[in-house]
Amino acid sequence: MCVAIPSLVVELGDSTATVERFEERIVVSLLMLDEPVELGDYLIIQAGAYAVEKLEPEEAELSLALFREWLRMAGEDVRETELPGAAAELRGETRGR
Amino acid sequence: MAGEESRAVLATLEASLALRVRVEGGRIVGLEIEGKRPLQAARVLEGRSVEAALAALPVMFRLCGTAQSVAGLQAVEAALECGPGPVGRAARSMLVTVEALEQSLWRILLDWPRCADGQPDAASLDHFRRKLRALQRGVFTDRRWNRLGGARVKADDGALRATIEGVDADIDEILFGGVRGAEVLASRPAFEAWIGDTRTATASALEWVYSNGLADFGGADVRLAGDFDTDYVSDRLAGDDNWAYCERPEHHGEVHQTGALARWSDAPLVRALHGEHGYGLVEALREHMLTLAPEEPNGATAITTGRGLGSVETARGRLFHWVEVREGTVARYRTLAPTEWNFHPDGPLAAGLVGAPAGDADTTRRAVDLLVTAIDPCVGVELELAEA
Repeated sequence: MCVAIPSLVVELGDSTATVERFEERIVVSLLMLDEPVELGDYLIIQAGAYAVEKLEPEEAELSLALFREWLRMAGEDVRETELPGAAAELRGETRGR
Repeated sequence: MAGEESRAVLATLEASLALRVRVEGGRIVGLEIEGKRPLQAARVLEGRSVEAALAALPVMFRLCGTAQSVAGLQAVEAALECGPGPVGRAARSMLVTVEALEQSLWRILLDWPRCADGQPDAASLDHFRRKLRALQRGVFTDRRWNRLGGARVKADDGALRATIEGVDADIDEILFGGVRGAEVLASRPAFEAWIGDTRTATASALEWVYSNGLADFGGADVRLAGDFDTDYVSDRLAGDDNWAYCERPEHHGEVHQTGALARWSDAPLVRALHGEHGYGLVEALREHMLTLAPEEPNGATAITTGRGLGSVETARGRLFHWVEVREGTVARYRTLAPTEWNFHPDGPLAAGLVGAPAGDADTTRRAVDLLVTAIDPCVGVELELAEA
């Protein structure tokens, strides 16, 4: 099944972004996105190379919570990540708001 | 989390297929398919209210979120004996079609040229994606269309039809080089003449297949799934406590191929090409072009009160969701994706590749890659070619 993990934008290039999910970083093309991208946004990546959608922060956080829950069911030792807080910080918002 | 641990977590979540192809004496003599897919991800839906579970579906399965949402809605509505009327069902079906169209365009514009030594056309894909977004926004009155029982459909003011006609015209222009696609795909002479005369990325990919003698590469004699016996599938999913059926499905004891080829197997041109090439590479690719307009059946099946099956035809084939609801809560949830049929160890890829001729390593790798793309898994593929 084609699950899609929200990826956090941590660096921006001309038409690329460096994104992070579960501490792995990859560079993706922004060519397929028809809206502006900023640091701290969450993106959905297709084929490991193209950002295809920008998520609302609440959607991304719900998605990450569901995946963490499933990973625990699958027996993975998953810590609560700082991603939601980190995303707010990257967006220039006050942490914990 | 340490780097190694995070990679392990990602490996659990990220789906992929590892294909190991063994070549000996100019032939493919073996294929191992190792799937790494979070088949049981739907377990997180169990114990949630049906509303929360339905809200979670498009969030988790974002890349084909519409098909997953509709399959989930159908399953739950069948279990609860509710659901939208014909207009609401048609509107959902249209969203599924738009999503399938985008997935097919992705394959045709980016992956076919990449496999066939050509130039991917990302700009055209971007152009289509923007138009398809407009189409999606024109169906329902608000973006929360995935409501249990149905959502409000926009009144037909002609704008939707105009957008559809615009997409059709662009397909003819960009994929078919300015001729009508329906005419190109209507007969074998027209199709082959078009390949010879046209220089679009799509035609060039098909020309590469013919010029390398690969038109019948990977032909398989696996039964094409026509109408599934939904009672049979429901029973198997209901009894699938260890998810074994979801991983290796069968239909009345046989492995089936689902997807574009199965949908179009009765078309006259398909029969003509099948007579010449079997269900080989050129046929599988051409079917993908026909699937630019996937059709019904999409439908819900009520099983017994409290249980339901959703069945949606996606770009890649049939997607099933099965649910058992108790007092408004999801008690059990199963999903069965088309990839599990098509990349089954006895499915069309394995049957088509083992025994196929193998030329030089680069061409063989490209041909296998193209066949995989044509059968179309919903996940990334790692391909390893080993000469004995």
